[in-house]
Amino acid sequence: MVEKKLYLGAIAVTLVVFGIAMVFVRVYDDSKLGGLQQGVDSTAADTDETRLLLIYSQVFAQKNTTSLCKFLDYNINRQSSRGYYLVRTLREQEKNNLLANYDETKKKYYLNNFEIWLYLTQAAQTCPGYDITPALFFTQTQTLCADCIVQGDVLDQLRGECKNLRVITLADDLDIAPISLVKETFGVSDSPSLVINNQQVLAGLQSRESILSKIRCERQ
Amino acid sequence: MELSMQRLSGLLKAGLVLAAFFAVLYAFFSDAKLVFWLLIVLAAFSFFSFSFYLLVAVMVKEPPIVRPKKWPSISVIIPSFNSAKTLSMCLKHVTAMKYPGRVEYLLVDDCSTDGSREIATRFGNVRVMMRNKRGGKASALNYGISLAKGELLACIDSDTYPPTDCLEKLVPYFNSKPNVGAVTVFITAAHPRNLIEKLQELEYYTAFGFVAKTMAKINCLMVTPGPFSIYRRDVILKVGGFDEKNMTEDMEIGLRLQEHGYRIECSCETFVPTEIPSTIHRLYKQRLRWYRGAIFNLGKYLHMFLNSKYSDFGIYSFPATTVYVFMTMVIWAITIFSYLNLALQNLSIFWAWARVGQLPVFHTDGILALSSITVFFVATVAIWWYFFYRSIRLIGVRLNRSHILPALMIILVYPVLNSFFYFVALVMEAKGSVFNW
Repeated sequence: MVEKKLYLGAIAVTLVVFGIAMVFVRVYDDSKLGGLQQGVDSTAADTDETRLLLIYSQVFAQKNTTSLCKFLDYNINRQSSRGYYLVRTLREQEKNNLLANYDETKKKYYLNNFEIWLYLTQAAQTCPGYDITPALFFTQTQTLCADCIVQGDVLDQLRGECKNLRVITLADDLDIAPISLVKETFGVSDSPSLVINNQQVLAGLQSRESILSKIRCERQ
Repeated sequence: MELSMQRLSGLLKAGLVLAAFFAVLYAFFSDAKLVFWLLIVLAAFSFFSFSFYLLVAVMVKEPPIVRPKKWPSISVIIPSFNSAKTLSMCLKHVTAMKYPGRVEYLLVDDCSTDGSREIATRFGNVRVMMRNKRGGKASALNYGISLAKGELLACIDSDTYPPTDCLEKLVPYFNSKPNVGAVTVFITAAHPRNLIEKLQELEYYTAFGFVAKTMAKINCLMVTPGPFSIYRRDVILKVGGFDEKNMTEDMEIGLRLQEHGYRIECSCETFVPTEIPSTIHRLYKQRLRWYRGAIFNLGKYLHMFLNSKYSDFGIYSFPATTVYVFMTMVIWAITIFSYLNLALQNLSIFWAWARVGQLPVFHTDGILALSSITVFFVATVAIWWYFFYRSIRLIGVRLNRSHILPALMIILVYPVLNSFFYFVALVMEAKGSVFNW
């Protein structure tokens, strides 16, 4: 029989090689997550700007609402236009990830989206003539949902065509209290689902024509 | 068509095996992370094996091979059945082998109908024995053994072309260590031409080269390859000869030798080319026989699994081979599931686009996203390449441009093909199908 040290040596080499591989995988996964987190943080920074603008409008009520609304609209539009790219990136990266934990980043991102929606709604109340069509888009994030993927792409196309459309993506399957409350309020039980103008609920996959028939689209 | 009870029972067993296998894998596959971790565990096992082989190759020293003062007599036994295409070249090579001791050549014709026996009779120094009834290779070998007079038995396939120095190089290994019952050799593919043959050529370099040589150092070989192996006659008679009911008698005798405490040595000082399947159908038939035989024999000798009575063979080689067989099937199933799942996902996305009346939109930003599991795949491939490099260095083979495509395929495609053969073999064994030679 060969000496035990050969078996132990093989186990040691395996552990070392695997250890190095796992470290590499961890670093690689974390770097991908880090890149995504930067995008989420950047969106969160924009949301902070929006929040400060609204606080400013409350503190200095009735002054410079035109400028305020211009800045608000610019900020909200910038956040929501970046939003779908981050949804796709989150989905792709999480699929190919082994060790990094995406839960916190996902939660932060969707909470941020929720906050954007609230500011959008508040901006509509604050700014006279602020004629924006919000569309809340409920999608699945934990499992593959073909209808959700296609719906997201259709909405992204429409967002590019209709300058007054603001699409806010929310996760249907994460345990986030504010989002659960919104779902309950609007009676959303399926994904994909859309809530147009904070009123009309469209359940299931909707075609471009179907959505256009429910909104007023200001062409770019 | 009436189905017999036996056939129904076989179908039922096969169905149960299939259902159980896919049910277990579906339970894993429904959670992609679990699949990742399963693949990592299997990769860890591969790494351990690779590390162990490398340590054995480097740290276990072989005693010098000394030419014997008195060369034992050898009986060269060639079982033959309808081998007219290759027999003449085989016998030319066999009878040209140089050997300082006494040699007799015995060809056992197993009721050939293609003129093989006439070809054999042209070789005056080859004793041709004709069987009355066809019994298969193992039976032909046993018949030859019963008539052989040599102290050693060189069992050679009728489509194998040993070099002239083969016997001189192999026989000294019988005295290299105590209790050597058989000596094997580096088997290579004879004149590979098309892609299927070149794939096997590369596969043989690793399997019969570095890995076999290393395993022989610690007496962990479990197969005495059918194309060319030499046995001690008294040992073969003591263990009872070849199993005539076994599909892979070369593996079965190897296991039996190990069970009885004999060593199986391996020489890579020379190499012996043998004919290989030239089409995918023939490869499929060959591998089905090999892998059915492997599964059957592993079951037959399961008492050696993790049994320290059989030294390193019981502790490492037998369990490792069993795990490897299981691993190839799991990896195949996971690969097929992955491709099927990817196809289904894409189909469902295309269907969703069709329902909204638009052409699909393709995003390129995720294409280069490298999965973390790729790290382990790359590492495994790198290590395989090292084994391959050591193997071809052993026999001084030079590769050329015609090997580029096979070299890529042997990493990416061939393992999936082999795994499929293993899976079919498992189902056939479970069903108890009769093997059609």
